[in-house]
Amino acid sequence: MANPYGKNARSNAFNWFLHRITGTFLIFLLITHFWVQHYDAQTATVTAAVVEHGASPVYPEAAQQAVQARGVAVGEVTAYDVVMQRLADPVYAVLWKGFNILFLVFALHHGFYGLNNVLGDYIRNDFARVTVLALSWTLALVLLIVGLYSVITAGVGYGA
Amino acid sequence: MALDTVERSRPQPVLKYKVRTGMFAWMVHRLTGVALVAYIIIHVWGLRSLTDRDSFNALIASYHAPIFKIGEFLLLAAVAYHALNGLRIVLIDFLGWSPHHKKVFWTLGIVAVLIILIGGYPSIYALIAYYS
Repeated sequence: MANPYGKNARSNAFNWFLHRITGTFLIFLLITHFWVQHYDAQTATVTAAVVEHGASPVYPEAAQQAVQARGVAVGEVTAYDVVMQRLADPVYAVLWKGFNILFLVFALHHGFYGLNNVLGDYIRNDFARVTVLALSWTLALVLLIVGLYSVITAGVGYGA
Repeated sequence: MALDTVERSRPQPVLKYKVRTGMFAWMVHRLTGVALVAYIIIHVWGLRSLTDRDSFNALIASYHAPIFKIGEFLLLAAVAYHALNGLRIVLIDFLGWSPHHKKVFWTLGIVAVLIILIGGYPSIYALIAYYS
């Protein structure tokens, strides 16, 4: 291993090291995610003042033009179309899906390793602790599979 | 474990933390961390609808209820704090900044407050505009 942590098989130091690496990456991944998904004028989920039970966001003219420029026959631009600009794009979809998969893997490892640190600190009974840790990693694995499936299949056949 | 038996024989106080800067940072880091794990479970599970146009639009529409504007703000606050305090932990662990950990906490704390106020402004503005 290239780093000095985790050479002893029983130590969890390699995960401790990864926790810091994934955390640092997540700062940059989150800035990008928040920007393109919530603050950019074309996606406009935070900046659009849509507050209403069950209301769909109304997208600015620029977003409508961008979607229609793709030659997609949609009458009204919906939230789905705006996301599909990235996930169904013939060129950028691979990059965005790669971004999302990296994000998913890092966020799940970071979140569940951290959660297990917290749980391991407070659950004193050995059997209960091991059971809870196993259950939480199982949940993480389920979320990984569900998330990978959603990201990979998103946009397949869009506009067809 | 020997330590375990000694500790268990004594009654445990509910909270025996001495809350100073570092301990406060650590406690809030844990609380926001657990909250963010709860959020990511809901978030990833909800994104199953990404494979279907109508259910994705229905999901987004349901997120536009007023209560979610508060949720959006709290999420940003939790993320901003956790990210910047996490950066502080990385600086302490990898660059040996522990002698300065309090200064770093207050400096990054100010950055976090700025991010929360500026980034959270649209959510709160939308909520106020809706009710006035």
